[in-house]
Amino acid sequence: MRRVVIGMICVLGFALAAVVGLKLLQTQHITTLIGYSEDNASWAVHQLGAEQLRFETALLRAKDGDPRALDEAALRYETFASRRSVLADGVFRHKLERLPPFGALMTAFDRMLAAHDPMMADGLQPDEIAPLLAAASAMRGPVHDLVLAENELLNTVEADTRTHILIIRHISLVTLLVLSVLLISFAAYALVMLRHAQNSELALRHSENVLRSALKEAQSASAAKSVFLANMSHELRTPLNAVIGFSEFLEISAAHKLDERQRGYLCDIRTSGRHLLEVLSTILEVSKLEAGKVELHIDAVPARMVIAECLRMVSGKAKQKSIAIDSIGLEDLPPIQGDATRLRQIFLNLLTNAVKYSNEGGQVRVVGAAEGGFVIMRIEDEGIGMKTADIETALRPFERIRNAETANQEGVGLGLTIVKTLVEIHNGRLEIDSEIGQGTTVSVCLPAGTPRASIIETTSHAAALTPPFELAVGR
Amino acid sequence: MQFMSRIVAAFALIFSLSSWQADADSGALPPPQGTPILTMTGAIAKTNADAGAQFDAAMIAALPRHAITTGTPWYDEPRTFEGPLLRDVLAAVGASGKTLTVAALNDYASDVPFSDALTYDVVIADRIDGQPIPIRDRGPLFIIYPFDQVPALKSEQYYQRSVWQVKSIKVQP
Repeated sequence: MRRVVIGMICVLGFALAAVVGLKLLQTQHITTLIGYSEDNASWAVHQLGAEQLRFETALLRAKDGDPRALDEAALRYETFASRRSVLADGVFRHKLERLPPFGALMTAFDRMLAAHDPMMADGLQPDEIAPLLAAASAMRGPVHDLVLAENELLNTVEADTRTHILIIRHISLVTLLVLSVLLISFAAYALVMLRHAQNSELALRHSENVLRSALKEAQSASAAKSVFLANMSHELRTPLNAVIGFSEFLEISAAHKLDERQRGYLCDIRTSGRHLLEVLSTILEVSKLEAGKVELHIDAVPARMVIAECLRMVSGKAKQKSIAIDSIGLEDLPPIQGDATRLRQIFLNLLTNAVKYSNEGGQVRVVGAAEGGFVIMRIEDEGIGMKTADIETALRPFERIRNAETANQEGVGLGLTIVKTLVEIHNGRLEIDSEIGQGTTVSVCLPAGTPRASIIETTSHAAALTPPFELAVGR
Repeated sequence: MQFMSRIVAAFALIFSLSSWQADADSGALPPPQGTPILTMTGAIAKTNADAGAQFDAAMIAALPRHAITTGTPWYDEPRTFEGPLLRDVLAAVGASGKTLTVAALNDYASDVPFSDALTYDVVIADRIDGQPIPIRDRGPLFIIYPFDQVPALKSEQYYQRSVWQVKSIKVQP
């Protein structure tokens, strides 16, 4: 395309230069033509001829000595003489000088005037007519020569004029041709460009439509999935409650009728049912979060209180693995602006993870700090840790890092996703810092202070579940 | 009484004005004393000869003078042309018309619109650079337009109207 444009510019430049050149040439020819038409030299030369004849005629008439005829002849002498300066002065001289007979005529004129001017000073006398007539006749030859030469010049000029007009006509034609070719090529170029633009616009519109329909499809699929998940969780939970309830009832009421093996089966039914219920609750939670149906009851919540509650709940598991949990810097913290239940959910999840992925006899620390209107809580463990690349994976719904250490851990892989979303709908931020074998530090940054009133916020936070929440249970 | 005298005065004024007008119309143009150099004919109110109104060099010289210094196609250098304005000459003979046919000694003739005389300071020059113009140098009278002063006049059309060796002017109605 660029080569075509450069070519077009070159052609345009050449054509314009050609047109300008042609026009200059034309102007030159036209100027020459105007020069010819301005020139009245021809008229002046023919007047010279006429004056010469008049002078001669007047002299012939004055031969009788009639005073009026003598006066007239004297006047004709002067008018004929005036023709000399008419030809020799001003614009005509430049034209006529080039004619060979011009010089001879001037000499003849000067000779006549030198000879007769002294006699004419006091009027024309009858005895001066004869020599004057001879002088007048002598002028006839040179005058005639100039008239002929001028006539020839006129013919040449006329031929020249015709040539100039022809050249001008040719130039006009060529110019017109060049401009026409230029115009046509530009029109063609414009047409091509127009086609091109139309085509690319069509292509653009097509891909826009494809994208639009893909987006619509994705949106409706996502909505359908959320509804499906919510309904399914609800529908599954109802019979599950019966399974769990009746297995518990059987454990209590019919324990003595069952042998050890049957009691073991019953226990399996109950724990599996509980686990399934937990999974379903989590899925329901995620669907709710995604649908933006979570209500927050914002309050001033002391971090110390929340953490203490959570610690109580994980203490059993921690004791089993001989894990020590320390709290540092929680006393002087300002309260967190948040929903107490949700905050408990956040920290319980994180502490459970910390205990879950800690080695036997390990250490977990909860460190609190206040910074720029935020409360920053750090949950640190010295457990198995994870790769930087895996942090992203851990935050994605249904994704768990699969390796030898995590293989025996229970869970659906939604915990961190929910935590992250909950933190974000609190206008907070969650960051994970981890290294394989060194442990994991999860930092939760939440707004500090006392809200003006207890606020109920209905969030619409589907976007918080990024990357897009996918139904990936089977993966 | 005062009112009456005013009326009388007004009448006297009107009478004197109209008599002055009549004077201008019928005022006799004196006959030329020397050789006539310009003959005016056609639609003119005043005459002094059978042929029309004739002027000798002295009569031309007696009219209000005007000088134009201008370049022309006929001389290499700008020159000073001096003489009466064409419109003053026309007024002197009570001319009224549309066209002036100006003829030269060689019987060359050119038509000059009467309006030119009123629009431009056209001079009938009888002197060039302070000297009388000889016949041999396009004299005795030379119609000159203010070419350098009004550049629009520098065209073939006005050069044609600048008649030299002027002999006569015929006023066409």
